[in-house]
Amino acid sequence: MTEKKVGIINRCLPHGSAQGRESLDLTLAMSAFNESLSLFFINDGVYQLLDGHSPEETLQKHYQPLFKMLEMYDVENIYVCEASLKQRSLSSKMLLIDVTLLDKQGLQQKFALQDQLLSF
Amino acid sequence: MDEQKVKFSIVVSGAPYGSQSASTAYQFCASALLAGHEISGVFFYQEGVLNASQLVSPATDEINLPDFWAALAVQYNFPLEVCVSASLRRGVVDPQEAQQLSLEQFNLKAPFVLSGLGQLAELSARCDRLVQF
Amino acid sequence: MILHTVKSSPFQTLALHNCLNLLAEADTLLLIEDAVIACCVEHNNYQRLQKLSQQGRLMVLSADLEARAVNNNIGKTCSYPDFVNLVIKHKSQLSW
Repeated sequence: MTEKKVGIINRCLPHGSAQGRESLDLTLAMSAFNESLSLFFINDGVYQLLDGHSPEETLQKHYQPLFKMLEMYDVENIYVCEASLKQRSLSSKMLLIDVTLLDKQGLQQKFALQDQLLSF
Repeated sequence: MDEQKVKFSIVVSGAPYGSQSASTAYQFCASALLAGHEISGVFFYQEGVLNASQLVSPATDEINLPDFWAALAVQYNFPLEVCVSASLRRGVVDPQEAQQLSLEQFNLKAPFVLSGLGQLAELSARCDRLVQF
Repeated sequence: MILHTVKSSPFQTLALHNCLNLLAEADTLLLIEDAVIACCVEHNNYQRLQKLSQQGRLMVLSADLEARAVNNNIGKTCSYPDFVNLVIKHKSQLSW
């Protein structure tokens, strides 16, 4: 049986909810069992990767450094919605890790390849 | 695939009360089972872990969703897996964790079981369709 | 071929809007929970929904319409068993 392609879609800002952190926990854990994971950051989810989080005074956990573990865990398919970045006056240079930018068609194509989708 | 038996794995992310999504998930599971399909397992994550608390005590004329999950799982023999890290953060604890963490109480309802996110990977691998609520 | 499920009102969140922005031609949209009202009254994305409805790609969960005392003007109503079959017919499901 071939491994299922699982797409994990991040849509929320960090720290206001645990969505981003619990998505990252899930991704890192699942990567031990599945080498066909793809990560997507769309809409407000792009802020998950904006370098320089400092949530200490908000009593929230500073989980952003864990995104650097993705490479060690061989999670290499990391896609960011170009339009979502642009709409928020952000660029890929401002992000913590190397990502692949995708336009609408690119995202649709990658989504369609996935056997399963989880969104946060 | 329409005619044959399909294996579903379900991810529940909503609390048993306060938002509808866990109820929607339950109705989906009940319908799938009634149609002759199979539930490989339900994975409770995020606020969904609160479905596994035996302390959930709605008024007697209201639905007790944790009871409903437990009954459905027993009737159709599928596992109710609860993410342990998400549970501990939200105060859902089994006897073993309570002992390890020196807590005076535990509240995990049977037949829910605490398990790791690896179990979600397992449910993902052995189903035909994964559905998230 | 994705079954997109949206559960929040278009007057409350951008989930429907964001979903429609990424909905591909082979995909279907199923409105559940509070999102069912998107089929009952006009809003910023109503015309996009009308188009989907004409193409037979817009579904709405009838139990959630009845629960809220609203009727859909567009989209095809479906039951929970229909929901199950929709999931089976699509390759994957994406919850918004």
